[in-house]
Amino acid sequence: MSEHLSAATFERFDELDRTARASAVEHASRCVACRDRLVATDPTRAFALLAAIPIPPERLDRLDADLGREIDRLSQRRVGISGRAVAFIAASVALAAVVAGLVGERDRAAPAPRADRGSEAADAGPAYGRVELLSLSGDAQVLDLHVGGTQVVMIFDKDLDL
Amino acid sequence: MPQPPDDAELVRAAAAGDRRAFDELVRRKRERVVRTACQITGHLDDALDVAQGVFLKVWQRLDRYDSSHAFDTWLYRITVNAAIDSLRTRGARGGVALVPSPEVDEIAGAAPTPEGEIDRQALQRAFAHLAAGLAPRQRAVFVLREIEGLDPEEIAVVLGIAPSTVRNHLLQARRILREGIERHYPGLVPGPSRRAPGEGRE
Repeated sequence: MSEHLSAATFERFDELDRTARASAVEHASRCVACRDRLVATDPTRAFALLAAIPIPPERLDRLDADLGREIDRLSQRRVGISGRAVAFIAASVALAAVVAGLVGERDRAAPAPRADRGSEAADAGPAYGRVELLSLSGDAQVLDLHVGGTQVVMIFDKDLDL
Repeated sequence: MPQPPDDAELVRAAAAGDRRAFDELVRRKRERVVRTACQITGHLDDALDVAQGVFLKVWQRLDRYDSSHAFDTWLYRITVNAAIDSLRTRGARGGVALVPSPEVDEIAGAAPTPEGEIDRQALQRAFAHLAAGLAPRQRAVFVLREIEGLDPEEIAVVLGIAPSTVRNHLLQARRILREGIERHYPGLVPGPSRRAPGEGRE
């Protein structure tokens, strides 16, 4: 058994830095006299000695193993997601291009609007197709498609699971 | 012989995706994280679940860690928040164990206490019992101060509260625990015969 803790250690226990405190607690956990003296100043200090109780090593090893598996699983999932994200973006850009092409073709084939159609035609909105990218957040895209008086909103998001 | 990397170097390497650096960081910090979570939740299994969640969060968020603050402070903050959540969830499921349980004994270890060493099981049982009477924040403050040895200013940063609030929680926690010891565990405090002035001291 090493020497007992000094009187100053007990008097200034609350002011000790973490290393000095840990050292005092470790000693007191093995020394009845110092433990009694520590606890005599404040019985709740007995619980400081809980710091000296080691966690069962086999439980810590199991934590390492479980954590390692979980990180591997997350890493694989992340690789999978990034591959899918590239495919998703390519597909959505291609689709947008096809839709824009079809709308343009339809506009060229459609007759010009007559001047005497009156206010009804004017209220029906633009007589041509228009594709607008409303928002791009992360991997999600929202396309606003106007064809004649019809509006189609298309949402592309790899995380949407239908 | 090369010096082992310090925590800051490991954190930087792990943030860059170095898995071995992260594993070493876990190895250095795991016992502290499990012990803190264990004393807050009162259950070793819950503490291990908390610890796994804490380290997963650290792995996923290391790139967002602000190195102007101590890594341990950040780690304690994640740990305490997760442990308090776990404590509240268990409370909603039916409460913290108020009586000694085999799990409490497992925390302290099943081996008999060698002569002169502290009776781990008795101490752990007493704390598990009495700390159940503390509010989660009081419990966290007491664990960080008395068991982990953090100073009130550091605890204030960990919990995001004022140092004066930390001191107030600590006073309340000590008062409740002291009353509990006197009422239920008088044996934790030395008796008059073992408290004789100067006896076997220094």
